Amino acid sequence: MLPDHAEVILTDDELVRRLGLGDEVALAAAYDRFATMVHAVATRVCGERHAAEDVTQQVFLQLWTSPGTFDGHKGSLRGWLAVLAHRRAVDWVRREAVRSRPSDARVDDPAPSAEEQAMDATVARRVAAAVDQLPETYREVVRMLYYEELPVRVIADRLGIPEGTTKTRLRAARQRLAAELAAAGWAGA
Amino acid sequence: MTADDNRAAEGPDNVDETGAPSGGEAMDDNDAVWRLLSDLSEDDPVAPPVGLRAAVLAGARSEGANRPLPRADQLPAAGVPYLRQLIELSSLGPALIARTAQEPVLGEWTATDVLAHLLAVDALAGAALGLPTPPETGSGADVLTRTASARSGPAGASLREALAVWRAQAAAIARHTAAVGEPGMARQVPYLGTVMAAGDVLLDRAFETWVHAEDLRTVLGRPALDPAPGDVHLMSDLGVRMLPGAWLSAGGDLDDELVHLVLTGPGGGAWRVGPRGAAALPDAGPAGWRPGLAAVVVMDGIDFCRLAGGRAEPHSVPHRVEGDRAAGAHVLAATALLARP
Repeated sequence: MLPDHAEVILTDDELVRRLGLGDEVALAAAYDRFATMVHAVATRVCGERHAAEDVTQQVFLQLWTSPGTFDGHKGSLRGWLAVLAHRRAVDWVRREAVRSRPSDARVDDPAPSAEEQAMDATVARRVAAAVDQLPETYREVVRMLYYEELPVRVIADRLGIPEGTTKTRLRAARQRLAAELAAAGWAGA
Repeated sequence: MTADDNRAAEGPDNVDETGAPSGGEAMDDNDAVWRLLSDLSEDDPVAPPVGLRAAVLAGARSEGANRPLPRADQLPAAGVPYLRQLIELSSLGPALIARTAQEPVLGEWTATDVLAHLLAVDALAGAALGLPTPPETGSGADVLTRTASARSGPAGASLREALAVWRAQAAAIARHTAAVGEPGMARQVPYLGTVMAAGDVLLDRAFETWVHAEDLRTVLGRPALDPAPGDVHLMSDLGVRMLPGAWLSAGGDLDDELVHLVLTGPGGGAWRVGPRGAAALPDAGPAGWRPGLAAVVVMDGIDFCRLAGGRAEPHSVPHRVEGDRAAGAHVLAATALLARP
């Protein structure tokens, strides 16, 4: 059990700085904050429990061994880990397709290949397109929350609606997006 | 400005024709997409299995064991003595494996048992600092229980294993210390039934590691190796600050006596010790009894450390008392009470 200090919320940059010095407490904090998300992305893409666990372990091992490949100027740690989870999960799906062994994962080379970058971009385009297809009332809350990074309270103020309504719209928007993307295939490849 | 206006201003897409990210602002959009995707996944999550966290952290420790240790200049002052003792004890490993695996080192304890003991108490310190404590570091909340548990596990079965597990944990403690730096040293943490500053926990670990490294050097027939003077000073300072508590918790009474303790030799210093606490004297000046002091106790700094570590006796350790001899004896007895298994 972690003492209370481990629950202090560290910024992305501070977490990554400590990981760079090999601090297991920082890794535990990152796991506690992001493991559910990483595991969820992996589960969505792989659709298989053991594979999702394997992918989750690979993602955090990569964060541990190569935290320097995260660039805080380019985005959030959460977003970066989602990218890694997606890439590793797609690796698994492709290996399964050719029936190779799951343990062949390339965790030791943190630099994304050109193909992986193209795949990331394809997924990004697909998600952006799905957002574009949302009804306006949903699209505006999604853009404000994720693209403008506004707190729900501020979004509610801007739109002149209660916070509860804002959250309801966000939830509905995400359900639509999830359904849309599930139909298209989460692997994105 | 509406969200759509913003979107128009940002451009139609965040990747160029090749599919590569097309610039700083576009990368922000990519981050937004991945955060959105992560939330979509998490809206209906299947929680990762409980054991996965421990597996991830065990993998990290195992990988970290192959990394170089942090440098002393990367550590806050209170972490340096532990790093040095970690290096010194590690350096005994090959000789211990070659010669003494089954030989008694301390009572009935072999070198393997001593390492399992250090591993177990370091784990209590590690837990206080927030580090994971894998099963091979033992279980239990007190020194003896945890030591027994570690000795009955894989570390107790093989000196090589005991050394490896101890060192991996010690390195993890040193790296965490480098990561939190000086600001982390003042944090109060629970440790061995009390609450103390994280920096003091590290000094305590350095001290005990030195005491047991001396045990192991003795059985190897190697000469004693005093800690660096600065380390002697920091460890002595911790010991002196613990004196009033040690004395009182053992039912002693300091009767408002005020004693000056002067430790000589490299890393020495002078401290004022009373029933309500102890503090270093900023300027030791010429040591000597004066009115208002019950006594002045003068002894070698390393002898003080050996007494506090249970490797010397109050009646036989060389020392000099000026003033009330009984008050001086109280200080020596309290120092001996600091020793634990």
